[in-house]
Amino acid sequence: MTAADIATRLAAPEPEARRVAAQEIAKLRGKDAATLLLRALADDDWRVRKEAARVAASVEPRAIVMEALVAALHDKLDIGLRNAAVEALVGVGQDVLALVVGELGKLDADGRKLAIEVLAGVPDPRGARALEGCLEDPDPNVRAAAAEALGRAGASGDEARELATAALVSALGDAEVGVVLGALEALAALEVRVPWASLERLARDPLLRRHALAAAARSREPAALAAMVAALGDPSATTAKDAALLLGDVLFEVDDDDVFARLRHAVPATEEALGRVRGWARGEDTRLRGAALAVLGLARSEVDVALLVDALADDAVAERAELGLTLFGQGAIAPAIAASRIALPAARGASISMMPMLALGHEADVVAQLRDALRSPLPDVLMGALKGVAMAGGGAELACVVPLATHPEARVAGLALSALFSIASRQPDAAVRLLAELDPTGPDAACGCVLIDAAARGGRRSTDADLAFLRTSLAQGAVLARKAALEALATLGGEAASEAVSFALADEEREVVLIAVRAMGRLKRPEPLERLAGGTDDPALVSAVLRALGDADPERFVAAALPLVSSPRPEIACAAVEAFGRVDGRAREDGLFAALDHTDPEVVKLALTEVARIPDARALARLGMCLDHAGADVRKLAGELLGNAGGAGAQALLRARLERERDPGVRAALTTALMTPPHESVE
Amino acid sequence: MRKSSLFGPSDIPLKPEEYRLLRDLFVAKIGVHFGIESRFSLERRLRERLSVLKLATFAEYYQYLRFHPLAMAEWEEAVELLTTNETYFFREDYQLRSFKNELLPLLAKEARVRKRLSIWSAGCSTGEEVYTIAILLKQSGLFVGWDLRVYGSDLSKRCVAAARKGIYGPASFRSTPDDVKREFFVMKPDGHHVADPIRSICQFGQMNLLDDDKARLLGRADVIFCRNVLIYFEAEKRRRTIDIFHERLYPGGVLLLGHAESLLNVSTAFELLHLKEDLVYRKPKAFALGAE
Ligand SMILES: C[S@@+](CC[C@H](N)C(=O)[O-])C[C@H]1O[C@@H](n2cnc3c(N)ncnc32)[C@H](O)[C@@H]1O
Repeated sequence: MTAADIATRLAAPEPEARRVAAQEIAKLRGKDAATLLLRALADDDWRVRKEAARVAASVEPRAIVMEALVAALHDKLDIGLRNAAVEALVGVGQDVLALVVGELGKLDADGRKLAIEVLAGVPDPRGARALEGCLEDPDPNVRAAAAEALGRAGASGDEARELATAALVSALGDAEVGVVLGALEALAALEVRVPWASLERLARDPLLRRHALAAAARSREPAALAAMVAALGDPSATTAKDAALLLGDVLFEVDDDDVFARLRHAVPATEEALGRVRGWARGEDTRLRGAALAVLGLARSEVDVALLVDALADDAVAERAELGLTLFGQGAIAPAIAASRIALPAARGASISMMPMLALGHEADVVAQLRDALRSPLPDVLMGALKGVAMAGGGAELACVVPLATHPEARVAGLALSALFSIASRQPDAAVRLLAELDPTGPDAACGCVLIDAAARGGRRSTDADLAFLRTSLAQGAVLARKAALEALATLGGEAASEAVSFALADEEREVVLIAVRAMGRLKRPEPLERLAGGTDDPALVSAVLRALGDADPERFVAAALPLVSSPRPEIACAAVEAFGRVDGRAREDGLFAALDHTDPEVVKLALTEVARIPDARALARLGMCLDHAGADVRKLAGELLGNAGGAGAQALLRARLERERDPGVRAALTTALMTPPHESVE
Repeated sequence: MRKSSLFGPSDIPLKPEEYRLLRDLFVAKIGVHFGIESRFSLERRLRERLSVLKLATFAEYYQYLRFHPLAMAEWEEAVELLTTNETYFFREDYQLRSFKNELLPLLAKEARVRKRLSIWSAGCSTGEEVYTIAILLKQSGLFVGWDLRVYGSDLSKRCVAAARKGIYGPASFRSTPDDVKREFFVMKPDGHHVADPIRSICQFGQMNLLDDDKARLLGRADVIFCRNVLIYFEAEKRRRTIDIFHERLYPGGVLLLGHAESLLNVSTAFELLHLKEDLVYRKPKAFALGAE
């Protein structure tokens, strides 16, 4: 299409025809291209404008295009055109920076805001410096926009982040509320911990209080936390609610006794404030309810224990109620027992399971309660009691647990076996005494196997009788018994155990085979596993076999797994990739790098995710190479992962790709990746 | 209309070319050979599967078994229909007498140092043969304090599960002496349960005898019973299976086949051992190469 053709079509009455014409501009060269691009950017229809903005980056010569776009920022009448120009300039990327920064001094206030939007969209330290300057702009709206834009400075590297942080903290002193709000938001986006000293004054301003408290929650300074607690009594219900929500999150996220102690010191605010919190704890809003429950635990008033116990039965807030009880501590035991008697079974079970934790250091005190609960007819209560005895039970409790291992409810039976295991690990002698009463051909076979296993792991020397018990259990009917026997045989080790486990690889039940596979790994018997690896097309089995082979013999693992990485069946290749992700050293890289050449993008993506976990330069380089992969999906993921990896190397790779990348979805991902706050760096 | 057509495609014919395709597929996968005389029996046995899977021809069933994503599961169904699982305790008792009175004393002497005996019943169906062997070991009184293992394997999952349960009805006892039944079984409402001391030395697994990787999961065996299995096999597969047995046996170990089966023309790797009531095959000790 010639320039004239495009010009004609850009005048067509149907927007779709004009949109298609806008697309064609990218194929033109020379001055006409820029003129037509501007015309399309000024189109009445947003779809046409969007298309034009999208193609702007590929229109040549860039210099002319950029000049035209910057000129459009001066346009006072056509808002559509100006916005489209911003989008187009962002699309062009770093090349526009010098031009836009240079224009700042010539633009009116609206124009400067638009320029700031461009600087916000193109991550670069030069842009960040210019934005810092805009915080001194005479126009408050421009200052507010600059503050907000600095919230994205993370994408421009560590230097820009530091510069932005300092500038924003000093902007907190701005006389205009709008600017301060923008700065607070930006600091939140940068995940900066603002010192309470800079926030205290703001927290007294009713307009700013909520935002200042949110920043305070991140600081975790004692004074800040005290201010949050105090805010529970704020005259504004909204502010008080916000404070409760923030406090709830701090309590949930922090695992630091010092912080708890500080907060506890600050509570109770006032009886009135606590009354308000109690109201929320009974309310409809689950987030607020959860927060309130945690706060009540902190306040440690016995009258609230029943509320906390009841909440344990409600999945939506159970975790927060548990936190509340934990914060409450030992003083909650007696009222919790009283409350649980009349609570729903699920709440009863949950509160019983928490007893040992509440009684930390005095577990013996709650054992009688637990034994009592082990006789309950209700599965929920049984499950709670089993979790409790797993923590606090002694040798005497073993015999009470055994009958529950054959409970018709599978979850109860499973918990009974794990409780046996935990207790027997602590009390191997009691386990052995009980074992003498169990019959390997009867329903208690699985229990016996678990006892043998736990005692052996605890260092007890196993006997021929143990081996006979396990082999008999392995030969007899129940699947659960066979599985437990295999685990224990793997713990015992030795020739006879290995022979029995090996034959169990031919078990007719798949779940038994999977356990047998794992047991072979623990027994360090690679040969049968090697043969299984190549001989099955069951991905779950392949996965289990490779994991076990890795345990048994790392070298043979590599030999067996490497060919599977390029299996034409993606499920099998994925199983092999996961297996390589679990090993260490050079083998892991060899396997994963090989998978990056797979033709199936899902396999490549999985391999990429695993490669991203390797903290070295070679892996980083491979991630970088995938930024040029043919699949947009793969490039996108590589970008995200590099963003998570952080560090100067990753940022450089991302920025270099952003320069070349044409796919809008991938571009967006790369930009976001550049803004990801740094975790630990990879270099 | 014929009544049975209510229940499915009762009159879909197995065409000669379809018969040949399926016959070769079954030989390749499970070794079992269906001669031309079994064409109609094959047709009868498999029709039910066509109806369940809503297939119109046996050719489609052939394709299903080869390429369908659920082919593995279908093979399990097919195996149940294609195999003969007939078995009972103390079957072919003359051979068992030889085993107990002549072979076991021999083995007791040869393995007296390791005090371990491992016996494999390959193609054990629902387990009667395995428990019979275990009972004979106990009755002999030769192995007190030994580590005894009787492994049973079969292609059919259903058979293995039943064997593991160890509960039997009257048909299984057609040639079991009463005193044995009293001593080694416990009568309960759901049938006769194999007694615990017998059960505890038996272990079961699912194996295709053509899959040598699976067979190697088993350690070496002193005796292999493979009775009334190979008669259904095609000659080449029979040879291959016997090679596997040869490999799995200890030097000096013994292979017992059913009375209708013989190794003539199959393998010269075994030597014939003449017992009073039976002929069995032994892996020559020369294979030991100094191992034992
Ligand atoms: C007639 S039963 C023999 C049972 C017992 N050995 C006896 O003599 O009483 C034959 C068994 O061989 C099994 N079988 C057939 N083909 C097999 C194969 N390829 N691998 C393993 N078992 C197979 C069948 O499932 C069947 O249970």
